[in-house]
Amino acid sequence: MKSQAPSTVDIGEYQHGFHFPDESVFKTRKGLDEEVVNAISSHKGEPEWMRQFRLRSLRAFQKKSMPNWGADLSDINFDDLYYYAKPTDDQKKSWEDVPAYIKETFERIGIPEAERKFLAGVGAQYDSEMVYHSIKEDLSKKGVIFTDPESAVRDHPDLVKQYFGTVIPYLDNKFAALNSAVWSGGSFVYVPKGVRVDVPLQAYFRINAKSFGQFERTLIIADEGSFVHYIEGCTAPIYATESLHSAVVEIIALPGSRVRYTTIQNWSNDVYNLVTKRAMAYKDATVEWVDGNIGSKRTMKYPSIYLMGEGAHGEVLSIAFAGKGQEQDTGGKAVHAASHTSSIITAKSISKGGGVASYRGLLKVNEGLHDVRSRVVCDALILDESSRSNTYPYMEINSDDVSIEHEARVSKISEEQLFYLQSRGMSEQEASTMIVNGFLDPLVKQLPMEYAVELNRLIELEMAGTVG
Amino acid sequence: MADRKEPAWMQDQRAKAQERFDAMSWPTTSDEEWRRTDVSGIDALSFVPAPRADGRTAGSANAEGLAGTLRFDSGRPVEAGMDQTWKDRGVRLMSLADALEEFEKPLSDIFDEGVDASDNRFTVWHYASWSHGAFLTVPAGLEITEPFLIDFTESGDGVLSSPHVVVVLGEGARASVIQRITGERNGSDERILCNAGLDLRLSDAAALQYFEGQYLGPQSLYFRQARTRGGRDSSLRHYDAALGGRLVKTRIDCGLAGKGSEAFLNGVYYCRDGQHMDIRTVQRHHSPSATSRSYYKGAVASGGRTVFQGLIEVDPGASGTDAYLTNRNLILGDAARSDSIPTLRIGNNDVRCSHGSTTGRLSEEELFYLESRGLSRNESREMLVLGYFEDLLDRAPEAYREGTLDLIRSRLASAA
Repeated sequence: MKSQAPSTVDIGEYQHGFHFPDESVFKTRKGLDEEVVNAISSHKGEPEWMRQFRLRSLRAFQKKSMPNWGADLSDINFDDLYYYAKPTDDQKKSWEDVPAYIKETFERIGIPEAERKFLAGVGAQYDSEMVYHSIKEDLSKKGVIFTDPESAVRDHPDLVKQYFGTVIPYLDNKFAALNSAVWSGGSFVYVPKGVRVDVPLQAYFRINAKSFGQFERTLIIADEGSFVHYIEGCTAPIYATESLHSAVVEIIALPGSRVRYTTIQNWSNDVYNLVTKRAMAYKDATVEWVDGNIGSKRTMKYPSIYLMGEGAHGEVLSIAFAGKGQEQDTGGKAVHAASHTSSIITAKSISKGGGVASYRGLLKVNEGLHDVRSRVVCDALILDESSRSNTYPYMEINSDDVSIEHEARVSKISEEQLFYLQSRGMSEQEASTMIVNGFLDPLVKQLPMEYAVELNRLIELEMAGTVG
Repeated sequence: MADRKEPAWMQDQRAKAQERFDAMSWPTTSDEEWRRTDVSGIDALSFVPAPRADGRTAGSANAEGLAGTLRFDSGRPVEAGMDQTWKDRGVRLMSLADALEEFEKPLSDIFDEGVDASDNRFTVWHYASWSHGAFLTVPAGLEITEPFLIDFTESGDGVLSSPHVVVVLGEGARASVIQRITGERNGSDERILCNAGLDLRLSDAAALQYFEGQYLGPQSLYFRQARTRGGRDSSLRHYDAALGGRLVKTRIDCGLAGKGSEAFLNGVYYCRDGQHMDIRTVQRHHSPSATSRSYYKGAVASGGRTVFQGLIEVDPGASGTDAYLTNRNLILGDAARSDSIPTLRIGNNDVRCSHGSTTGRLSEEELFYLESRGLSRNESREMLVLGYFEDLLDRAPEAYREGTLDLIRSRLASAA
């Protein structure tokens, strides 16, 4: 096993009067206050400006009320949570501690051996350096910065100061404020002018980085005319002991650039996943969110695109699978702030076993704009009698020269389709699985091949035992 | 207060509503349904209640082409007439105040439910203080083709008017009603706060068409709470034309309680400069195999603001539900604002539920085509806007259709 990069904790800059004798197992105490935030900041050896940002955010978090809509969050007890644990203590976990059902799922999805341990969080890294070395070299030759946000704060303070917290201000909502106060891990990406990154960027590439943090913070800046595809998460269930995950992802797509961000979220079923994701698309820029939510107990996540310049285009493709005990409150938002802009939001959801899938979205057109086009389509499949599906699309149109279309459909698996497939010799379950896969096909097609394969297998697993 | 004492049950209902009124505060923009309509600037209690209607309704001849007529002027019944054949067969169209004793049975239940279901202060206020209104009942099995007309003319600056209409159809009965509400008699500056209520009850297999035209003056405030309940295999078609008022906040809550029942909620709205209209439809599926449609079309001129909030709610037991919700908005000017929020809450998997919403402006191509045929720009606009509303109005009785279209025409002309 490789050791953690020592640079993430620079004790040299540490100056605020806390002392932690054993940094390898450092964990803040339960609950959240200034002392805890100061401890996190000091432990990361952050400059004063970031510490102040965290403290301002903490005050906003304490003042902001919980959302009075969406999923039921009443059983979150903020005082009973840990807000920071230094990643290295992962090494204390062993493969034997990983629950059997997770191991079995890895087996059935076909995750490579090395990645399994990485995904299960038992090793903060696996020996991927050989595989990804050439990719990393290629990226740095092009001037692409791809690192964790802690390193970015240290090594690229100007870029961070210019963009960090500008897309999602810490005052935005309670959970964005929480993340801003205690963030740890995530990714920082800067793609220089005109550079196209051909391989999708994944946190795997970053040796020694823990990609799935509790309060991860990702900032992607695509400079003029550049292209990048970032992939977060994976199809395998993430074995997590933390019960609250609250990430913030900010994307800045400068003129003429294109950013695609793909997430497949499969947190284990005891996790609250409350995420703020937002992108700014400037003149002629394109931002695409592909957002799949399979896991977690309750998810609230609505990837947003602010179309800030003429010619900007935004797309959100959202998929949710709500099984037993799960509530997926997901969707997308497009805010048109410039003329000649367009957006497409496509949402697909499946609920089964008493799960609740809700689409919630916003389409907004600001005043005085011309030639704005948008289309929002939501499809929901309810697989059994005990499950629910809700649709809450908000459309606020303040200009006249617009074309806005919205459609939503809720249905069950059609008896005719089932009958047809069964008459061709399939079992009812095979037939249902095939129909569900067909339903999700438009999303799956957007994924890189290995993800698509894994997602299909995952759906098969989720569908097992649905019928009969 | 009326000379004639109301029956005790109604006094009790008013007291119950008043008690809830006292315990509630006015809705604020943090209440989801009121988020887009700020009523904090309205001093509702400063409006003076219209005197409550009393005395028996004077009988008069009935107009041609109508099954019956009931007119109110400033809260007082001024004309009531009905075709003798229908009268002989037990059809009643009368002032609601007159019906309270004779029709205690259906009315006390309806008011009881209404007060209990009220979830905002305007609605409980209505039930505590309703001032005048109409009651129509059609016995089982009767089919009446000609429409009934219920006409309210409201007047008086700073007046609170709270009309309430109840329609009860017996098993298999069929009827249609035009209900109009107008203001502006003393000029367009007149400020009336109209807080209206409607209760429709359809027995099994009954069929009702109800056409509401709201044509108040440009300074008036209009609140309306409509509740409908339909029995097995019943059929409701409710039409709603919202044209008047500075601020309009209405809700129709449509309960599909009977197996195989259907409800079609249709609406047109035209919102001009300075108007704010917030319309909510609720299609509540309680029983299996029911069908519902909401179809609302609006046009918003520059300076106008509309909000459409539609909801389809399907109970877990309501299998075989077929529900659709459509909202279209035509934006006629640059400073127009139109919000569309069609929502679904579905608790059953054996359903076909969907909604659609579009927002756009008049097609330049179509305008160009009409202009190239020699029509002026304004004539072309008028033709396209009227054509846009046509599919919603072409089945309506002529009086209602023409009244609505004339007003839209004059609004278009004054905006041009």
